[in-house]
Amino acid sequence: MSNRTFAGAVLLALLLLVALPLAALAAGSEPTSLTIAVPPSASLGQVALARVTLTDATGQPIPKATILLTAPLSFLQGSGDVVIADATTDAKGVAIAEFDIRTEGALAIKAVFAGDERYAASSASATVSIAGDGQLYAQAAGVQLPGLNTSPGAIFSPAGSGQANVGVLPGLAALWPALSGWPIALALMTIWSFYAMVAGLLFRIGAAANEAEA
Amino acid sequence: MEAVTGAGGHAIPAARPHAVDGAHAAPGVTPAWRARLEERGLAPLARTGARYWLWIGFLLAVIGWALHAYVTQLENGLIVTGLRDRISWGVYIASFVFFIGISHAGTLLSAILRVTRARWQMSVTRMAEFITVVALMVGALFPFIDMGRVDRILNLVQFGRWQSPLLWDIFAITTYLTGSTLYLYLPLIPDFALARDRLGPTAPAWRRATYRLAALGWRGTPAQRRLLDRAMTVMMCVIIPVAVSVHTVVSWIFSMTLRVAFNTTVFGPYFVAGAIFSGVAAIILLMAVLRKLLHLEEYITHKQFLFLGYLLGAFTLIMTYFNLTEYVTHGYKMEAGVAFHFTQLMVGPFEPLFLFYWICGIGIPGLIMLFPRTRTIAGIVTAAGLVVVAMWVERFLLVVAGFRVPLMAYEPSDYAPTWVEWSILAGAFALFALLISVFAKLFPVISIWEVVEHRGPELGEAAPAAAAPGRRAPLPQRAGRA
Repeated sequence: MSNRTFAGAVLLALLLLVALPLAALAAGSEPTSLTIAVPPSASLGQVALARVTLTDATGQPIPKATILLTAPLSFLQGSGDVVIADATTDAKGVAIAEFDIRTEGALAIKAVFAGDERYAASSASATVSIAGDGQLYAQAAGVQLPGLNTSPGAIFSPAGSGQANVGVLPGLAALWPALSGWPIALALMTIWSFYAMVAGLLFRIGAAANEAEA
Repeated sequence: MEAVTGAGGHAIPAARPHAVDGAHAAPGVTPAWRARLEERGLAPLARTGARYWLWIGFLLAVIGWALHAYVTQLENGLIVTGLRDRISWGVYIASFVFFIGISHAGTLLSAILRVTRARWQMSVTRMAEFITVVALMVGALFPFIDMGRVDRILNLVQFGRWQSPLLWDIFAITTYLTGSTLYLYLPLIPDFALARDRLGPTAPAWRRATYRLAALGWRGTPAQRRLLDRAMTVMMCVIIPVAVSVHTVVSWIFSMTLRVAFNTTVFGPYFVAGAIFSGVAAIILLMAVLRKLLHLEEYITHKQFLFLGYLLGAFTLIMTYFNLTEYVTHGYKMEAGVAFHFTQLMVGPFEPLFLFYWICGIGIPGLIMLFPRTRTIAGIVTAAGLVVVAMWVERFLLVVAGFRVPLMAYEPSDYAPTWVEWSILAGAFALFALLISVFAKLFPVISIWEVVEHRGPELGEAAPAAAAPGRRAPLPQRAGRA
């Protein structure tokens, strides 16, 4: 083999080494398009659905792709996006993701496709306007004491559903906030009424002294 | 009017007949015996020596240092303590449980003994009630001290939740403190009247005015006696369940959290038993100190020490029972974290404190009360002193070892109290001693009228001689109603 032939072979090999990965890379960077649809408004504590559609550059659906839903979060000194749900696209390139609404205000939901060996990454955002206030955590473990950690209406609910049967006791659900903590209030009122009785006896001791003086 | 001379030479006029009714005196009460009792009981109110002021000055100095430590903590935050995120309860909460515990025995014991009409206790009920009120006042400070941001205290009211044992605890302690104060005050009324009538013009005007006001015009009329008796009966019956509930609620602060070491159903009765155990020991110690300082040997005899010592001895067995029940049931199941907890307690970093609790808090006091030879006043006081220290250690172990069990897969933390925490603890004990000292100057430490009417001299016992420290009086025939 002449030097010229050898140099040509080396050059060809080098070209192949560079060209093949570039070709593969070019295939992976095939652009994609993502759209997201979320309800424009929701209530705090509600479960919402996001409909995400992933298509390629020609508008063809991309099936079996993993879509992540993220939302911004800040805690102490740090902040960033946290994954709140994930779903996989179907044959129509559509993924339905379910997520919990845990903060009030305007919540920016971002759908992210991370890309794969063929398709490039893409993302899309939408905002949900969330209204409402209240405590989202409800203790499930332990004894359910009406008046302490469960509604008194739950006693009358069928099959221990934990929901007040307002049909049986109309108005109980509305009264519930006022009834919260009644066992403690009752115990305290009982004890303090005895104290009040003793205070009354003390006044009578003083009055009895005046009678004796008279 | 007959007059007797107080300890300091101040003339204490004799009682007007209607202040403490002589017609209701117990058998064996002679005018001379009664006059001596009144003189002894009222002497601390009539005279204050230099040693008292020196003692008060010392206590104020310790409290001042503790305030300096607390200001340091307020300025810098809890970082100046040994408390961190993993062991966030330490000396402060251990001391809170300890003081609430010793507050227990006072009123509870006094009420139970009054209900059962045990005559022997009449001379010590007042001291027991002092301890309850004072220990509650001191103990209730600790949760506030433990708060890094005490300025947020109103959040407890604003955002407090009925479901939280912390809120229950606030209600329980305030209710118990109010009830205990009422229960302390009721039997004081006839003694206030006695002080009003017998502290002559040599007493400061403010003091005479206070006694006149506090006595509610007590003349000992049949109507007044009937009303006082009814009020005391109501409070006796109410305060017993309130006292039991308070320490049960304190135990729930622990046992209702998801921590391995606190995951037990015996905590309620265990805390109540521990509270009575430490409270009885505290009463014995206070009895010994006041008996010596105020020369009350005739009224606080070996019998009071012995009966309370019996109670102490019985509770060493009850505490053993509760502890063994907990160790066996936990140890048999050995759920995740229990092995770590038992190891750290028994052969780990807490081993010395654990052994101290068992040997000095349970073993030695139990043995002292087991043998007649060691059931002397000195022996019983020694046992009580050991129990008080050991019960503080037990509270410390409960809190700190409990919090040290990791909740997740992280290395267990260590906790060492800093000078700030030790200083505040010293200040708390100084405040406790200060309040007792002030109470002893303002109120008769013996319920004089009850001793006159319900107890009288201890017949068959040459009191002053038999009560000498180290000597053992004959065993009473009927414990509890002698």
